[in-house]
Amino acid sequence: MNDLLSLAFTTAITAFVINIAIASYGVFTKTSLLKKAISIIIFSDSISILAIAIGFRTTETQYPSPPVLGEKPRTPSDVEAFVEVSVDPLPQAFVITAIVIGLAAITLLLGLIILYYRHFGTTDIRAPLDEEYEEVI
Amino acid sequence: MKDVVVELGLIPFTYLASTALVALLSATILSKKVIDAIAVLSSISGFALTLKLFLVVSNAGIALYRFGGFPPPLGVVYVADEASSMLALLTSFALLSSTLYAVWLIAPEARYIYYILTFLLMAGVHGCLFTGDVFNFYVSVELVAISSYAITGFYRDRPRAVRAAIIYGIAGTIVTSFLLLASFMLYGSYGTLNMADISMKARNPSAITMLSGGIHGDIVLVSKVSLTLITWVLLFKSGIMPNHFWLPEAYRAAPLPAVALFTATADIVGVYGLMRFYYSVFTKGIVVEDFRATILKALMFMGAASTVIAALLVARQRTVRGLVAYSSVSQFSLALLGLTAETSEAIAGSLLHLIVNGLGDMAVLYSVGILQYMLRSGGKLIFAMSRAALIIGLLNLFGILPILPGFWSKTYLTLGFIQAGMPHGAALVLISTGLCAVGYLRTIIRLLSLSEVKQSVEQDVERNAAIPIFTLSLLVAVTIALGMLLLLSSNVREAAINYGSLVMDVERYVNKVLSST
Repeated sequence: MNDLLSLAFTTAITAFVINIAIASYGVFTKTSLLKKAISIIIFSDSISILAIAIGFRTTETQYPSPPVLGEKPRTPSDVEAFVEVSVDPLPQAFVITAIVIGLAAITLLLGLIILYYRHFGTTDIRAPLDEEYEEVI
Repeated sequence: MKDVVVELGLIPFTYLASTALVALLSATILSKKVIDAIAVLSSISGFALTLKLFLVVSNAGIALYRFGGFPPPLGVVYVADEASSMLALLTSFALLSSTLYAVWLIAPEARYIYYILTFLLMAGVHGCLFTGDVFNFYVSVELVAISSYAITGFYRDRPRAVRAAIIYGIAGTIVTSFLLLASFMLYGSYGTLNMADISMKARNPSAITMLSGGIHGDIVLVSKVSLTLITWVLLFKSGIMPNHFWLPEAYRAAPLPAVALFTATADIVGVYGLMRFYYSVFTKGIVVEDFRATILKALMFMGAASTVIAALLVARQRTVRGLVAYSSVSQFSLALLGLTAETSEAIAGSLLHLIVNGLGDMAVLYSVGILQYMLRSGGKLIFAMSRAALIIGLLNLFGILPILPGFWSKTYLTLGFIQAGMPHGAALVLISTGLCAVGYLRTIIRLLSLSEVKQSVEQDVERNAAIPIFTLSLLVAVTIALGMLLLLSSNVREAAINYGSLVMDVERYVNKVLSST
C-alpha cells in the first residue's frame, strides 16, 4: 500500500515539474498574450500544488490527516498521535497567500491585455508600435 | 526587548495605511488638494520614521520588529541593519521628492492613482529591505512588482505604456514565481523560512533550532537550486544584462516621477537582495561554499559585461529617459561587481553607489522635466537652476568631483577591488565611468543648447515652478551635503566602510535575530 502511495506521490511530483517546464515553454515561445497569460496561470498553479505536496507526509499506519484537533487532547499520547498523522499546515497557508498574489497579478495582466487589444487590434506581442508621441529630451 | 524598535513595524504600516486612506478619500472628497496634502504628509511621515530608524540603528546596531510578537524563527521578523536602514532612508527620501514632483506634474484627476501605486510600491520596497523571512521577501517583491507594472502602464491611453507594462508584467510574474518556488524548496529542506535560521543551518547542518528543528533530507541540491533561482530573480529585478529587456521600455513609458522612483527604490531591491542572500543567508562556510563561489564568479563576469555594454549604450541614447535607463543598468552592474569582491570597501562602495545612482538619476530626471514642461513659460532663473541641477546630477553619476558622493562610491569600489586582488575590477570601474561619460557629456551639451521642445498635450497646462524647483533644490542640497560629509569627515568615511564590513558579519546578524525571544 505504501509502495503504491509512494509511486503515486512521485508520479504527481514529476507531473508538476513537467507542467512547470511546459508552462515556461508557453510563456517564452507563444506570441499571443492570452496564451502567455494562460501559461502563467498553469505555471503558478503548478508551483502552488508542488508546495502543498511539500507539506504532505506518508505515515506507516494510517493516512495523513488535516492539522485540525477535533477535540481537546486528554493525554500526551493523544497529542503524539495527532502529530504523527497531521500534515504541515504552513505550506497551505503560504499557497493561499501565493494564490491571492497570483490573482492580483493575473487580473492586472488581463486588464493590460484588454488595453493592448484596444490599442493594437490584436493580442500578438509583435504588433508594430506607431509612435504617436516621443519624448525628445 | 531593547532591540525591538516600533518604527520598524510602523514604516510599512504607514505606507499601507496611506494607500487605503488615499483610496477611500479619493472616492468621497472632491478636493484634490486634501488628497495631495495627505500624500505629502504620509511621505514626510515615512521619511521621518526611516530617519529615526537610521539614527537608532547607527547608534545601537541591528534593530528588530517581530510581527505578532512571535519569537524567531516563528513568525515574520523585520531586521534593520546599517545597510538596510541607510537604503531605506534613500527610498523614503525618493518617495517624498517623487510625491512633491507628482503634485506638480501628474494631472489632478489621475494623481490619486499615482499616490496609491507609489505607496504600495514603497511598502513592498521597505518589506524587501527589512524582512528577515524568505517568504515575506517573496511577498514584498511581488508587491513591488505588481505596483511597478501598474505604474508603468499609468498612461494607459498610450500604446507604448501598455506594451511596456505587459512586457514587464509577463516577464516579472514568471520570474517572481521562481522566487516562490525557491522559498518553498528552502522551507521543505530547512524546515524554516527565517533567513538567520537558514543561514545557521546552511553552515552547520546538524544544528537544531528551537521551534523549527533541524534540516530534512539532503540540503545540498536544494541550496544550489534555490540559490540559482533567487540569484536569477534578483538579477532580473535590477535589470542586469541580459535580464534588462524590460527596463528601458518601462523607463520610457512610465511617468517622470515614477521613473525617478524606480531607479532609486524598486530597482535597487535586486542588488540589495543579492547582498542580503550572499552575505547573511548563504554566506562563506555554507555546505555549498564552492557552488556559492562559482556563482559569485559568474556574477562577476555578468556584472562586468553588463556594466560595459550598458555604458556603451548610454552614449547612443537620444533621450534622457533612455540615458537614465542604460546608465542605471550600468551603475547597478557596477554595484553588483562590488558585491563579488567580498571586501568591506567594495560592499560599502556598492551600497553608496546605489544611493549615488538614485540621487543622480532623480536630479537628472527632475531637472529635465522642468526644462521640458516649462521651456516656453519659465523664467531664466528657473532654467539656470534646472540646468545647474542637471549638470550636478550627471557629474554625480560620472563620479569625477570629490564634493559629490559619486566620486566616493567609485573610490570605494576601486579600493575594494584592489584589496581583493582584482585589478580587473578596478579597471572595469574606470572603463565603465569613461564610457558613460561620453553619454553624460553629450547630454549636457545638447541640453545646454536647447531652446525649443516639441510640446505634448500635457505640456500645455499652465504650471507653477515653485514645487519642482524646491524639490530639485532639496535633492541637490542632499547630494552635495553627502559629498561634503564624505570629503571633509574621516568619521563618515570610516562609518561607510564599517557598514560594508558589518554586512559581512553574519554571526552578528544570526545571533541578534535568533536570540531575540
